[in-house]
Amino acid sequence: MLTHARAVTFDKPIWRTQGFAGTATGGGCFDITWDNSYNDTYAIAGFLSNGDGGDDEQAGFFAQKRTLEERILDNMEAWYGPEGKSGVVATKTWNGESLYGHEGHERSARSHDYGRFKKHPLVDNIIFAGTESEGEHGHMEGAVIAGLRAAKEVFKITSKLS
Amino acid sequence: MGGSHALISNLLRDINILAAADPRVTLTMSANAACSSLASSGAASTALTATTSSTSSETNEQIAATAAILAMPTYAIANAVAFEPALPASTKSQMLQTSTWMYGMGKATGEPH
Repeated sequence: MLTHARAVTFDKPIWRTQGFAGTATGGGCFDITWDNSYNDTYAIAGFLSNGDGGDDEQAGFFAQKRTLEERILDNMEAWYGPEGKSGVVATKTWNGESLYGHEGHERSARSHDYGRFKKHPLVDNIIFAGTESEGEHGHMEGAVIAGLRAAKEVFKITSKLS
Repeated sequence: MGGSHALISNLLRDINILAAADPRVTLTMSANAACSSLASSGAASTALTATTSSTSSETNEQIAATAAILAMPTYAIANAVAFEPALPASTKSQMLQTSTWMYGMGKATGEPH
């Protein structure tokens, strides 16, 4: 089970008041962070570095005798000053959300063999356009390409009708 | 606003502008409704009926359409939507073997303090 991502929420966007975008790479706990704020909730989200997340998380946790949460807040303090300590570390994982998958999924031989299912095989007017429907193995690119393809398919269907 | 939320809100803004300018477009949005079944009788102007189920109300809504685009993970399509005609068994089985992108990764969430 992998749980590499974390968010740190704040009462105010302390990074913006210092002129920062919230995007950072390398150093501290995180490989990369970004501004994940929405409306009045201000958050820095990021992927944890090896040793501070994922498969190594438990080992790192016990070896350093400090909680991951403490290390993340120290990281925020190092980057954004004392106010960095005021953050609250939040986590959500999709593991266990049965709509999207199941335990052991990642070990399936064809698990990430994306791009094979682009529409209902028996009818033309049910089109699949999730990022997994494209061979760009996820990411935003797959989603954008899938959206463009789906739009073209719909135009093709509606132009036949008119 | 953060990057992903900015992207979503700007897309929504553009969709609203396009929908307002085109009388053929009706925009219906619900954050709580999910498409539970799709029935298609082939290519015709209202060949497809989508039934939504909502977590916030007991009533299911039926929408007639020319086509449907499911912008969902392959697994979720096979797992959560009842199709007419049904997906061939082998297709459904293979779709259920396709893992959702980033499924195994922890997702970060920001809750108000």
